[in-house]
Amino acid sequence: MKASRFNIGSKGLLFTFLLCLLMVALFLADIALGSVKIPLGEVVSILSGEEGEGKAWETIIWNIRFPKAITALLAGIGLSLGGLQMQTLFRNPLAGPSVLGITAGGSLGVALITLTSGSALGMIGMAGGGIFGSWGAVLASVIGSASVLLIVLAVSLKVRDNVTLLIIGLMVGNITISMVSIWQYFSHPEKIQDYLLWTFGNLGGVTGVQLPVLGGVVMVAVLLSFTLSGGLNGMLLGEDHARSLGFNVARVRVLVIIFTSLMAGAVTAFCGPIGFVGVAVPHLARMTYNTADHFILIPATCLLGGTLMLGCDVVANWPGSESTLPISAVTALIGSPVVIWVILRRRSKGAFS
Amino acid sequence: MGNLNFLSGTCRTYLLLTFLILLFGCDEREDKVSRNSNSAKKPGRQESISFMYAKRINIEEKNSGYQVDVFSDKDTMTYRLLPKEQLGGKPDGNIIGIPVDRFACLSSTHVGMLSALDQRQLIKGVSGFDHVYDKEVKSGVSKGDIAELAIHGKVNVERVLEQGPDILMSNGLSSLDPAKKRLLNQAGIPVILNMDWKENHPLGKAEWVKFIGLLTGKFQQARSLFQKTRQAYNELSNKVVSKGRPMVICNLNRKGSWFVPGGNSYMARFLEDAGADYPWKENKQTGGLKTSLEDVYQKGLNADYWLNPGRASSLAEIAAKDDRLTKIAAFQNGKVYNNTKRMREEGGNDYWESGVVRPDLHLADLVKILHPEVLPKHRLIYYEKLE
Repeated sequence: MKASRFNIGSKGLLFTFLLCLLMVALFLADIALGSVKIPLGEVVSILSGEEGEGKAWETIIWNIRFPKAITALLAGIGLSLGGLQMQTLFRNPLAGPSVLGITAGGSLGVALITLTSGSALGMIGMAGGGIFGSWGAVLASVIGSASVLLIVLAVSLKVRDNVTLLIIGLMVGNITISMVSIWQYFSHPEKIQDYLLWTFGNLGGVTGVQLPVLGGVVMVAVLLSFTLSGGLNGMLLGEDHARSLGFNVARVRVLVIIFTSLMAGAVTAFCGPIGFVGVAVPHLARMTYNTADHFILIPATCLLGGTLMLGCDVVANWPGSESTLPISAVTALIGSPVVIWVILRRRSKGAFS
Repeated sequence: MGNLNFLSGTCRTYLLLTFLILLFGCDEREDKVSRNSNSAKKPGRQESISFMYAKRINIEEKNSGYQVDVFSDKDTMTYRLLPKEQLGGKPDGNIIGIPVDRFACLSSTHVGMLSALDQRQLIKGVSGFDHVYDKEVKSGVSKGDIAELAIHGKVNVERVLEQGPDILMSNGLSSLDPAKKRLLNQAGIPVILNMDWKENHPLGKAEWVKFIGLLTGKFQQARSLFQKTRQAYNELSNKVVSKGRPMVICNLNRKGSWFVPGGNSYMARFLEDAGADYPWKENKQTGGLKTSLEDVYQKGLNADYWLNPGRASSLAEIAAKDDRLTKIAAFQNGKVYNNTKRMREEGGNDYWESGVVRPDLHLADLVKILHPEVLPKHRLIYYEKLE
């Protein structure tokens, strides 16, 4: 099993190099684009530490666009890696990081504080929102995700079968969605709009202390996920076969769930729900690197995920002044054809077939 | 190779469909005022009740009553006002018997105007207890004399029918679809559209008090109230003409967008008349203009004053919401004011009640903030400084 671990061949190396270049280019592009037109030359000089013309531009680039680009990277990496692990765990090509109800739980938490203020439940939420400012929604999302996750984890300890776990995750997700619908039905239009804005996803809202927190959580989970590479490879063989080879299947399953929840939960808490990237990118990685080996797939997914999310954010900002597209819509528009393409060209090496 | 061609064709169709859908879905242009508003100004009619600033209403004497035309963006609503004795039988949807005894109204401005004319006792229904500022009206709701007509922002027809007002006045935003209107009309309750909220001049909004006056038999009071208001407003506005203009920004960002008053909106007009420099004054929109944090940084990072930052009641709250807002000069100099001084905890705000009938007072507040030396003795009524 230890034979051709990191061997991706010279073509693979070239591709990886080009991909890195693309990522840097998109990172720059993401910073250069926005509703205020700043010439590219100015962007570069401000980034390299010189004073820009007029304080406004410097402030825009360092306080608004740079954090947004970093957030895009983190979101792309976190969601894609979460998707990869979920797809391997459930051996299902359509699985994504939200499959265990994490996103649904986050929505439930945010809906609680946004839609129900005025009722007893909402009072708790309002206090959080007012005192903690923007942390209110983040905490609500985390608590919501964690609650749903605890339910799913509790069930996972009793269930040996991954398919059952998947279905339970989906059903719990549905329950939260219906609760949110009921709250929406009884809410003022203003509150519904507030909640709706959250569901569009927003990469630009991670400010101040929040960015290091998001970065820390995601990167820690990513690094820890690397250690699971062997275990994930084993899961591809099927649980019984993996067990017979000596893998601790239960341990791998729990760790995968924890790491994915950390990454997807953090991204959802800070950025709102962003879909499709988590489902599409692992397939892109499998196809371009032509492998099912997680030692290669994990870094590949991170690289591709970050690049793709940056690309989506660039597309979202393209319309230019005064109108940006919601990021969730852009990822769905780009992610869906990828998923369709995958299904039409099922050549993913070794996985799921 | 065959595979590739198939995919290109599908790709192209998909992209085309997507762009078409995006194109048709993204139209955000403001509705233009209907042509009727211009046709109403033809000479030759009998003009006994004239409006100098309000553009969305027109009243003329007809036979023994009045004809009132209200212009929304889509069409013109025409109402006939007749003395009650002449009504004979159930009034149809657009015929109103004056003076009105039982007034149901759904908006704060309506409450404000009725209070200004000292006609609170006519109010029999409001949208909700939480939205009202006026103390007497609120106590009327608590006692049960005044009904709450809306649930979660949507008008409840059964409650209106139960309360049995002579008219229901709406601003067009309370989800009164034609079916509900028909039900009410059949029960003898005309529904009147009030478009004061879309007037883009502060005096234009205030001038609608004349209509309320006509409905309640207090037209003379309404007219003289407006005269005084207009005079005070214009006098004050002239005092600041020669002063320097500090830069002012308004509102707050929300999830990536920042809606500022359009250059042709009533707030922009207020700022202009109060001697402010408004970064978006060249803009032509009469409502809110969608910008972003970046745009406000670009245009307003050095703003001298900041008004109405959402629901914030302290500088710390603004910083907690988004620490990038602390970079704005007005924030750093502590020159942030919110229109929450006369506001109830549940949400009723006098800024939207008496503030609309008395734009001269609102203007005085703005002048006090921007050019304090012009009004040394004035104390802020609707605005408070955030600490």
